[in-house]
Amino acid sequence: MLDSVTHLTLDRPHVSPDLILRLQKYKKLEAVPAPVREAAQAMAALAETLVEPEGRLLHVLVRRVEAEGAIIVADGVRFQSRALVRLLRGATEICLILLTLGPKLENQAQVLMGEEQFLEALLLDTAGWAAMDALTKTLRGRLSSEARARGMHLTHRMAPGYADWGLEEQRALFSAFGEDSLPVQLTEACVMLPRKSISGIYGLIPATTTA
Amino acid sequence: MNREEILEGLKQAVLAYDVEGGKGLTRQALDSGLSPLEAIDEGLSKGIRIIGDKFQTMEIFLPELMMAAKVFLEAMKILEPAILALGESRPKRGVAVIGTVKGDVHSIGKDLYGTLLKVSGFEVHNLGVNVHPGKFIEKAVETGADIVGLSALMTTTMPGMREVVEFFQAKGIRDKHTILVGGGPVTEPFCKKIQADGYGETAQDGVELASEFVQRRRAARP
Repeated sequence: MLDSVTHLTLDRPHVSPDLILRLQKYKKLEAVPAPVREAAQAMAALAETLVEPEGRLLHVLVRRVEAEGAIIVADGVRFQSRALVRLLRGATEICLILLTLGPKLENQAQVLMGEEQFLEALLLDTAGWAAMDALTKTLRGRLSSEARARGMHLTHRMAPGYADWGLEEQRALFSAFGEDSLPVQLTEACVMLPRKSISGIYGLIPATTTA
Repeated sequence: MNREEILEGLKQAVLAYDVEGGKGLTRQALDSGLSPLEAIDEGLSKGIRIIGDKFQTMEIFLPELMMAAKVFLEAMKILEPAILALGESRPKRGVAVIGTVKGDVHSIGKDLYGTLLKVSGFEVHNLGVNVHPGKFIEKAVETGADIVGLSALMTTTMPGMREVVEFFQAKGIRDKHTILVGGGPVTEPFCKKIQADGYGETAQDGVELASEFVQRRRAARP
């Protein structure tokens, strides 16, 4: 349904220790020292118990694309980015998303840091991004299936802060939800709280356009 | 174990990320009458220097750097009271005040930087996150900080770094402190643009920069 905010029901994601290690720049996983591997496994397991995924989804129509690289969506929300306009070329609808893992994981990482458990703090923090990656992939899979069923194609995700899309446009993105009780709060400096949160836009392009 | 074996053991404990082994050897060093400062300089620090080099050549990564830091700092908990009891003090490499600038609440990277500075011999004052420029000045003046390390993880909070530099300029104390910047979106050109003194791409780069600046300042003193 268009123009209505959906409260997403999301399962706790599986957190891959291998992804944690890759995010820490290890290319050859077999060469990772045993204590690091063991800590990555422990922090992946801990992360799975700490994350409390919550999200919002909003489907809106694309009203107009302007020559100077702006895109106007339903109810007058305007995003200014040439890269976004390129991504959404041919899109008739967009999905706005907000996802968060909640504050528990990052709070625990801070506790570990305070206890001088540096390795564990670092890897738990990284596990949060691995969890977010898994969550985003699951959501994308779901949205992609729904799009296909409607004869549409889902684009990649883009968010304020990517390419030429200014981070301050988070405000426009958040305002599009028109809701005060979002699970993610935006500070004056456009920092999302909890910190393990993402926002973004997917375009929906009729398959006939992409064929 | 003789003196050489203990010192080599301390270095190897750091290289093997062996916290318990490092603590055991540190106690053994003190029991055998070794000077705690020698245990640091000729044992633990040698290991840390090798670890730092391996990190720079990407032989090891941040998790291993942090494990080595843990070995060092746990050993220091045993050595510091012994140093004090002898009426000595570990020569400080410098004093650093660090924090995440106003509006930004990211802390892990900045905290890891603080840990590496400590390991490298800096006295570190970590002001936390969302730090007002005035707080940086207050602490820098109070502690006589050589280094003021600013962290920002968002393009929207990076202007907070410029604000800190401008605060130091306005107070007329800009030349008394070296201001270093770092964090995900921060770049060398941005550092130059805001007239900060240096930019560290990684926490380890930031430590080396801090050490270089302190040395340069000391060498320039009459």
